[in-house]
Amino acid sequence: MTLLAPSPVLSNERDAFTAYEKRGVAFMVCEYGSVFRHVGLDALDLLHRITTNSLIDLPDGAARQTILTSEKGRIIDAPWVLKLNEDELLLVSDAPDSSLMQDAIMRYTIIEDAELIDVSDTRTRIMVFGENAAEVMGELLGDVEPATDDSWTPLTIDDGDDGETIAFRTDGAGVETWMLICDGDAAARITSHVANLGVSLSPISLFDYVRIENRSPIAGKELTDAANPLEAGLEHLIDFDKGCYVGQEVIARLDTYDKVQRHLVKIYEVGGADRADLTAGDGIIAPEGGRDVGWISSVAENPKSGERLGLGFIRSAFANDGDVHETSSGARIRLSTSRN
Amino acid sequence: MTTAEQTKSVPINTVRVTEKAASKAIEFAQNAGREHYGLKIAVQGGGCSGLQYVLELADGPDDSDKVISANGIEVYIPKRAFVFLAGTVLDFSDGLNGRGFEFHNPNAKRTCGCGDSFAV
Repeated sequence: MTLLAPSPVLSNERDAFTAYEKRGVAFMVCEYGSVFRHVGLDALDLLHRITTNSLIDLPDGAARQTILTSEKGRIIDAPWVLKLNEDELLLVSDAPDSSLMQDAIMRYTIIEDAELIDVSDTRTRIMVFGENAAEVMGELLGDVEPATDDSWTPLTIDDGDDGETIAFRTDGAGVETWMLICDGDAAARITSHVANLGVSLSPISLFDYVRIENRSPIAGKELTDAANPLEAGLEHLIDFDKGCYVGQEVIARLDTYDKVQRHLVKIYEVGGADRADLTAGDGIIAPEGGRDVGWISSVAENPKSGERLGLGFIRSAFANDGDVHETSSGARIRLSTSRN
Repeated sequence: MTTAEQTKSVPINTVRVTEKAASKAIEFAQNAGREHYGLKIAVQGGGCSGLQYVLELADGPDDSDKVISANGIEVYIPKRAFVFLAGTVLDFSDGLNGRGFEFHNPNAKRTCGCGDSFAV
């Protein structure tokens, strides 16, 4: 693979949105989140026992997302678990505060042969997302067989041997999304190569806009202890047959008796010029009685159209597709329960 | 003496295994044809409430185990697990409604429905 000089980074958000619309793919160097090595013969078994998804059957070379919940079934974090080999895992989290996951795992590490090591400072996380992400990944992977949905692929660029990269598919933006975990100097080579494929660097605002448009929750915003996995629409990350894990009784009861109180919805700002802006953190007010029935968890704006989108949680009775409500700041909003 | 009374009477720096639980553990070991054995009691992360008991036969203690002699059997408890188990009574409940080995742990602030998991 021949490396070219890197393309200039786009100077403003508007250009980044335009480039994304035109190219159908962008890449982002993540400035949040964390990477941990989880080493020891009991590491995988421990995670299997304390998180929602089945991990004990994870083969070497596979990646799977799971959810750490509290004893009350509330979300702590939703890390990806990559099994490098029998006694070494990588845990990859989008959460801005990695100490929540770290504390939860350490709290339950008692007699286990398992050690959690924060390697975030030595790993760079790069996301490639968009409907044409596969094309870019094909260029990066060269002759290597692309990873399946449930596995990671070592990715090598032939201009030196300093630093390795692991690529796996997360779909974290709600469209095809690949996460690249780069060690050492590999990140510079990857970003240089991706830029030379005509792919622009995404600001966080573009990534947020795309994931909100596709109703994809993220740790630290939607995935917090204010919600449980069922409210956040993460049923696919729960193995209802695996038996006990921390928070399992609460989650199983909510599912069995259909007691999920709130739902994650996409929110469109529909107010006029006299209305307040849609703002993250605001409450959602019921049309009658002025009762607080939810909250806005994320907001992003398209700098070209001025359109503001959000995600939020709202009580089930008020979460119908097309419902119009107000926020506590006075913005008028319309709910959408569909992905797009 | 009831199990609750037994729990109260157990010094906080030890773990007690009732005569019934000890004889049942010995019976299991002998049925398995083991010559050298002890009863390993530990705690690991997991279960609905966050911590779950581990109970198994072991050939001998690990270096980090606290060793207790109880009703004819040696009990091995990892020191890191002992803080969660101090004062516990291990009993055995049989009969139609019996649940097998039962832990009566004064440190458990909450237990899950099946009784295998607890929080401190």
